[in-house]
Amino acid sequence: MSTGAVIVGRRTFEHAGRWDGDHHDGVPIFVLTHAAPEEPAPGSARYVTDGIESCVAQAKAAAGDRDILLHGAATAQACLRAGLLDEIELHLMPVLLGQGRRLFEDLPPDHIELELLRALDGPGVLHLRYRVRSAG
Amino acid sequence: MGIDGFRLFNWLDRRNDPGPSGQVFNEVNSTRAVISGRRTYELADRWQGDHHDGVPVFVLTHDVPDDPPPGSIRYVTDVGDCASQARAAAGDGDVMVHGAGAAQALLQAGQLDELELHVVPVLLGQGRRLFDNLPAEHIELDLIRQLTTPDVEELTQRVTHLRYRVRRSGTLVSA
Repeated sequence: MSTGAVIVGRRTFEHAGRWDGDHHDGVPIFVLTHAAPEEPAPGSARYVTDGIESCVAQAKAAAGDRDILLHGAATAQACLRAGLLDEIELHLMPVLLGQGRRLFEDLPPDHIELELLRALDGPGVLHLRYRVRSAG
Repeated sequence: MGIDGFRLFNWLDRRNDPGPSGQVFNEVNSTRAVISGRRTYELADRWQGDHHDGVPVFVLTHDVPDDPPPGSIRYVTDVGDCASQARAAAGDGDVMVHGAGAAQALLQAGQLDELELHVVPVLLGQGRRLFDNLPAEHIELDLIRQLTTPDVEELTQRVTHLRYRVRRSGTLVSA
């Protein structure tokens, strides 16, 4: 894990047991949420309630030259809509789930152009990395 | 498929090249029967009655049109009938399936053997989804082939052809 900060949606954060306050190497974790819980965030986590732009700005400042890892479909969608997402790494598993949350949903009706940067073939999984082209 | 969804078929511009896209296109054209949904069939102007080489085309539709079908086309209203007629017509050859609605109906009926995805690097944001209206149970797949197109210089034009086998959930029992 070489990312210097983590952005995560509240739902994923709770599903993961809040990572007991440490995602990896103690890097700061920015939890995007509408309403922060009463109790303080554990360990390296902090709650961000003033929107995705603020969340990304804080994470970039914390990560410095390093990349930021982003967790959670809704948060990724918010970043995409705000034009803040630089890359998408898809882990393609050979199964049709038939129900559940979709990764690509609530997107703007305009196209978002991608560039395939890398295709890695793992056992039972295909890792596809795309760069998001900025509009204009 | 979204607005300007035909963008998803730009890889066909390379259908006559020796590379992966040409290989996939040749495979399509060596199928011995076609199943198509009604919507795709009409969008394609009914292929003027001939999809390729005069092979039989079975159009899955709820409402059979009044006018007789052109050329090698025939209309079928039942998905199971459609699959068995197409398999019989193709003999030892493969059957090609066109259209999201038809593919979903065949998947639901347990009649789809393989999926060939042409993954194009764009998020359309709206339109019909390929994987929709599926049963709530998982459908297990096996990735059996992956063709990339690294020689295409324009990165946004790079397509990834992924072929999956659909695993059977158990013995098919006809009732």
